[in-house]
Amino acid sequence: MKVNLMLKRRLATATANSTLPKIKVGILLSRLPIIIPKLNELEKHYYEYQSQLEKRLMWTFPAYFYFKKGTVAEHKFLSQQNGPISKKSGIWFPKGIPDIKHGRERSTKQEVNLPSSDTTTSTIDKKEYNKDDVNRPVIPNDKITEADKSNDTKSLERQLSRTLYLLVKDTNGLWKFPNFDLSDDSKPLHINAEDGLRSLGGDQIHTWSVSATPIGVLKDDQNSSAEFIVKSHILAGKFDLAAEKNDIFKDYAWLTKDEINECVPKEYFSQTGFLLADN
Amino acid sequence: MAWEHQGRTQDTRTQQENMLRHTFKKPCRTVVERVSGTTVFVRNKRTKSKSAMSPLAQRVVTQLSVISASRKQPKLLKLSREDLVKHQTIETCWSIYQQQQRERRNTQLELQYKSMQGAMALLHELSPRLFEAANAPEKGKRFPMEMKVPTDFPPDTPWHYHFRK
Repeated sequence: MKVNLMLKRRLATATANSTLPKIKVGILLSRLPIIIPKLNELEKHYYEYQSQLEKRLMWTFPAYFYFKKGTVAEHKFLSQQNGPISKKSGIWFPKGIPDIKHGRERSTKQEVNLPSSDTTTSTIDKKEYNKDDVNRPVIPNDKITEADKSNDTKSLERQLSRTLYLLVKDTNGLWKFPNFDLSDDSKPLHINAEDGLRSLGGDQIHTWSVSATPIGVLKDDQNSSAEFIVKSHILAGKFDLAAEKNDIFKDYAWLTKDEINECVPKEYFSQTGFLLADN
Repeated sequence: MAWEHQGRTQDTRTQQENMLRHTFKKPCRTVVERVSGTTVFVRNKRTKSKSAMSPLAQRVVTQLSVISASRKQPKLLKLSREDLVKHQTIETCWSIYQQQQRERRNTQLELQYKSMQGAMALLHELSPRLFEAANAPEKGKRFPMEMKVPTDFPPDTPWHYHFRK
């Protein structure tokens, strides 16, 4: 089968050699999301509803198993709990007669309050605490970075919850994914693409090619060249385009799918848009 | 005389002990000792448990009660007609949302697959050698160690710009 195919191809290429487009290689370099994207309204409400249902149907928390009787820990825990209203004769209960077992009202969800530490830590600056101090409070970092505020499209710290893609601007002012002429025909496409990326943006970059298989091909109007796109992820380092030295590409940017849709021609996006991740 | 005196003190002592036993019955057994003429109260560790079971058996019972449902299950949910309709609406909405997402993803995957197939077909036509290289099995290929799973909050340094091989 393989021999057959090769033979057939050889014959085919011999006849149609004059009109063959030139092979180029493009690279779709992405920076994967660093943080989990925010839930949308529907997801948020649905998960809230499900969690409330689950809490309502949950078994009573067996505190007697976790806290030994008569210990300080037990006292601390029990003093945090708001006990249920107990049943008494001669009293009307608007929400039904209490049905308490193991200190839990069976007709509602059980609220277990944990002995919490101070909750006003969010206003305190992180830098105030010594990094070696083991007892320092856990203060999460801000999801909106400096690069987000200044909208620095050359930064890789922008839009942490989205996938960013590398785009370069050619001399005509058109934004596109980086593409190169095939320098070495004997190497596979993805290695050619990685080499081209390094020659364009410097050596201080750590990337990982997803596969040797191209994810798509872009043919230009005159059918003179076919650009095979290879997918790759940037893991560390930076792409640093020296615009003075380069005569093909003048500028670069890390953009999300929506931003790419805005800055590239419509036709180009219709050919490549489905290759990009939505978030 | 000395005998009498001793006998009387013995009596008063048992009386005292009885009284103390009544008062300190609940929390623990109080032992009254007599050290060089003065009476001292000593509270020892409680040795007698309330239940008749041995501590080992008691522990087994506790552990079993943790995993058993008896006395720990809440009341069944009794939804009114309106609540039931509400619940069904919510579930339908969610399943429609999931279906839309699934369809969007599937169409995107299909497009991606077709694009890959088209690219490989063209590559086969243009350069059989590159086609072979692009189609070579990549056995043993792994995800790199530097690749990270997205987290809830960003790390202190979101990106490492300085990279050395």
